[in-house]
Amino acid sequence: MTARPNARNWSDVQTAIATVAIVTTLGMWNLFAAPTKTVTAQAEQPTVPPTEPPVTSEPALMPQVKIMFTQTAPQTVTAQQPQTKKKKKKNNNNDNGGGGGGGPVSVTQTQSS
Amino acid sequence: MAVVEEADQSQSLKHRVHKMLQRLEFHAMGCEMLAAIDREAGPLTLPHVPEWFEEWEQVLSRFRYDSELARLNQIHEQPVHVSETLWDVFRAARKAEQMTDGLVTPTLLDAIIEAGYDRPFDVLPHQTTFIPAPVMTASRPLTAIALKASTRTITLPFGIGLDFGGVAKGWAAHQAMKRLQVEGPALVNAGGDIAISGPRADGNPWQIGITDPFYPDEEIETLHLNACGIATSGKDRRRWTRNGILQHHIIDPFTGQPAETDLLTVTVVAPNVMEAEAAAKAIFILGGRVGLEWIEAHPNFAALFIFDNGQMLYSRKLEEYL
Repeated sequence: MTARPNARNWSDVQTAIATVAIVTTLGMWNLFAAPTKTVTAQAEQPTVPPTEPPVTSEPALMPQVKIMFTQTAPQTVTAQQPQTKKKKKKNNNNDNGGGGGGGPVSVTQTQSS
Repeated sequence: MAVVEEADQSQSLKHRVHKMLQRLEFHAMGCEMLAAIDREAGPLTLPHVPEWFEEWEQVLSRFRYDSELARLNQIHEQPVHVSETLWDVFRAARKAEQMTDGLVTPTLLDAIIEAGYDRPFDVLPHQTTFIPAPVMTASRPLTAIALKASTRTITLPFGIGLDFGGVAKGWAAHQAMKRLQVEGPALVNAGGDIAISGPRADGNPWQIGITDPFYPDEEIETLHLNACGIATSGKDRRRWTRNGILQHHIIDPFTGQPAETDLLTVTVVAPNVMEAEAAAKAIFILGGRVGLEWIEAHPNFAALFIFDNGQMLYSRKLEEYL
């Protein structure tokens, strides 16, 4: 009796098919299992306090541009006479300004009308 | 003595008579008034000043529904014969408009009502949420109003109402001062708009205080004035809140809204009180920087600016009065 030709070959084919099936199964498993792991990891991340300060980026350099709202350069308004005088109480006593030791007082006052 | 007796009979008017300066304080036009004559007691017209103001208010008030101005505002496209008082004030308003290039105009009645100033300030609620119908036009010049001097008639076009406001008060102070000065050096203060006839009886100037807007019981400056007018405009007193937004009574005619300005108050000394009142209001609307240019371009005017941050700015001419 002679062995059938290709008997060994058939066994090899079965082995190859089994190997491909196992590899494919494992590959598919990894393919679909990986995103779940990532999401879980991201969800758990906030509970861990950061150990390093966040890195801040350097501010972008802005071009040196002067914005002019008028045709002439803005001028600094300065008080010609700064407020240094001592304030006086209003005159509600109808003093006519004469006599007295407290000095002359205003006859009346102007205010927003 | 007659004046003293009059004073006793009119306690509500707060008559106060003094040996030299005779003063009369009373309330009119929604303001505290003062009339003063620098002379000793004698036959005086001083007690009649409140009657004058009452007569003028009945003509010029927009808050009195039976005033002549209120009736005029209800008639459009028809010539209306007006009293001499209303005619004079209208002419004063026209001068103010010309002097300020339209910044001060009495044609802002709708805008001031829209801002919420629709009743005397004494009874105006400080906070409102009412939203009125929008105003179509902010202001129109007085030249849109037809006048006929020979018949003293005014024809208002549709859409224009008049509110003389500060012009009327300045005019009234000026008229009262003119009437009083025949009896001696006179001063009339109409709610801050002050008319002065000339030096006091002893030849010295009158001392006039400028109220500190941050501390109303104190004076921030004292001026020494002869024949002139002085007035202050600002947003420190007549203001209120509408829909959460701060409003005040000085309307910018180009926006129809309360003027947005960096100034808190402006005090102006001018040849007469009507010019002072108009100039103060115009400068307030213009703001500090442009207002300074305006005041320095008018050599007969002097001003003190007080900014929102408390900074004070004196015009060059004001130093003559310090």
